[in-house]
Amino acid sequence: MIELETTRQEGTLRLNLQGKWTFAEADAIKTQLSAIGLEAAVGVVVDASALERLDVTAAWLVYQQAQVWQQQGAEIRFEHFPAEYLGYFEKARQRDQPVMGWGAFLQTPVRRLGQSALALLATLRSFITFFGHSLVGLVVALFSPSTFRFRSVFHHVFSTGISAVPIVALIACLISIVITYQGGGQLRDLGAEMYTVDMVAISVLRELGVLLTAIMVAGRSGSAFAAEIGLMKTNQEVDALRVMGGDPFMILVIPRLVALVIALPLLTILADIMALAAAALISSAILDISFSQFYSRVALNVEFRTFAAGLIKAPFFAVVIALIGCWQGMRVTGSSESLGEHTTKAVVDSIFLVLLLDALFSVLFYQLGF
Amino acid sequence: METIIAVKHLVNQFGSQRVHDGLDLEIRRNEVLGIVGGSGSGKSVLLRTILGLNTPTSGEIYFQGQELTGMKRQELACLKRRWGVMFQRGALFSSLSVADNIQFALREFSHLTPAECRELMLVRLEMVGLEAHVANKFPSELSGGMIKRVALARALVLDPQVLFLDEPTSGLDPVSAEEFDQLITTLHHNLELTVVMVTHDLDSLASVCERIAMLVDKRIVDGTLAELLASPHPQIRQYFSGRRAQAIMRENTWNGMPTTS
Ligand SMILES: Nc1ncnc2c1ncn2[C@@H]1O[C@H](COP(=O)(O)OP(=O)(O)O)[C@@H](O)[C@H]1O
Ligand SMILES: [Mg+2]
Repeated sequence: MIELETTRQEGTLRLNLQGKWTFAEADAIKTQLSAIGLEAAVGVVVDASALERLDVTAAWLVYQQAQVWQQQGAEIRFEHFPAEYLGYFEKARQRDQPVMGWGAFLQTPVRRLGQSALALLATLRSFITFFGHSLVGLVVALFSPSTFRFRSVFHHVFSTGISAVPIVALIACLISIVITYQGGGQLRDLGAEMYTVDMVAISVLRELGVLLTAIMVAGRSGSAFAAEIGLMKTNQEVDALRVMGGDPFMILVIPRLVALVIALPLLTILADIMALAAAALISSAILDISFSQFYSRVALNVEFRTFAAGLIKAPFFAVVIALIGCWQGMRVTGSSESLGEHTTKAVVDSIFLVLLLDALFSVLFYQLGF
Repeated sequence: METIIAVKHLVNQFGSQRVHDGLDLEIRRNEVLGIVGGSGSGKSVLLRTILGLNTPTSGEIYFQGQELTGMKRQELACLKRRWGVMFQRGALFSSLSVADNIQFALREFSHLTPAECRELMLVRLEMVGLEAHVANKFPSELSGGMIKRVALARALVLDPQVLFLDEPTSGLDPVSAEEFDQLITTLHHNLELTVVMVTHDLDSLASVCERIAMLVDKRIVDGTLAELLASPHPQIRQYFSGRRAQAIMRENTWNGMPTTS
């Protein structure tokens, strides 16, 4: 409860503060104080001697009102007001500078364009450096296997590969069911339902199996890499590793890279098998193509290189996903916001690059007649 | 003196490790209580339990006579607004600037205008001895000592009745630590503040704390520094018998400070 007693005497306004002036009463304090008019007073005395309690917020509100009166020409005197508070308030007021931030908005577009171009270059440079570092790390690991962390590789093969088996298998089945239904229906109208087998097998083996697996893994493991390494960055664990003489590349990046290069092709093979199995099942159910017909058709019309053309892409996709994930993790700076941002980037960028790379492979294979 | 917080028969167990075993503690209004004990003796866990961040295995916590564990969430949130906490590692919101870290509670729990919030934030910065330009920095750009100060500023922003500090001066240079102690004393004087501080800093213990609660054998032994120094308990004797401790005690008895309580 706040109580305020005002007395006016010979041009002096005397405020006698009583009760408990605390944060909880901030609103009441503000309204009561601002309701007091100076009128003819040329001096204001704020007397805090009868106060039971005065906390910083309340004191500051009184001080603030006093400043207003001062600007109106009154002379202010504080009595029994904690001197420390007044000291803090004075200094805080003197030090208050305008908030920065407007500068950024007022920059000319040209300057901003230049800055974002430079930022882009810096990002590119950072990635190239990272890429080079990883290559060196791989070479080092190749020539001195003792620096290579097999245990860590096994761990990551498990977490990126084995634990992804159910979801990858499921997705492969689903996509192949979709294609078989959609394609089979159309082709049956033409009396060419046998070609469904070719269509499913070729599209899955060449493109969809590896692509969907890569996208799935980018979502699962790319983000996990970025988050794991990013959190270690924010906790200064990476720095700790460095000062202990450990090489973050050898310890954090290379095992993840190698593990994904092992896991992604295996997952792709699994996806291919599951997709074909699902296609065979659906074909026999709706198109009256028996399993043996399906098998002989695949054996006849689908060459090994169709399968190889898909599988060969898997390690490249794995490298892209692992590198982008680890790189984004390394780019995390202190805040949790930055962690989220880079984790998101890891997924989006690696999926984008996987698709880009896939397009390039298509052109390349076409040119090579593969 | 009136008891503001009481801990009764507290038991905390993690797996097979019993950290507190029937611990009793009373915190009195307007005192500065220092909680000491070896590393890993359960000081932080005790603090977290009082703050309601750790559900005890058994035991009760009373705040102004009300039992906390059985309280409704809303009431509890209201009560907690009267507490200020400074965590051992600061626990600043890393995605907010220093200014927003300090203003957060003001914006959330008061009707003050943004300009007023900002001024009050600057006052808190001034109180903890930081320059105004620090307000625009982010926690990841601060040094350890600055983080402690910002964390204290944040803990003080709602003008709490009880201030909990977990190792406030660890990691500070001696001058800053002494300033920090002085700051706590000043605040305590002016704000009718009850301060509960976990500390290893013998200077703080001697100069700031009026009463000391020591965690010994999973329980609390409390008293003034002089009483603890006179205690025959081997663990307490050991804690205060280090060379640094001895030096500080000597210095302080010369100044006649702690033993005349
Ligand atoms: N969440 C937890 N789970 C398991 N053990 C814990 C947990 N928190 C603390 N401990 C254990 O309780 C003991 C006391 O810890 P703590 O209170 O942090 O020590 P200190 O007194 O140094 O602050 C330590 O042995 C610690 O390992
Ligand atoms: Mg601790």
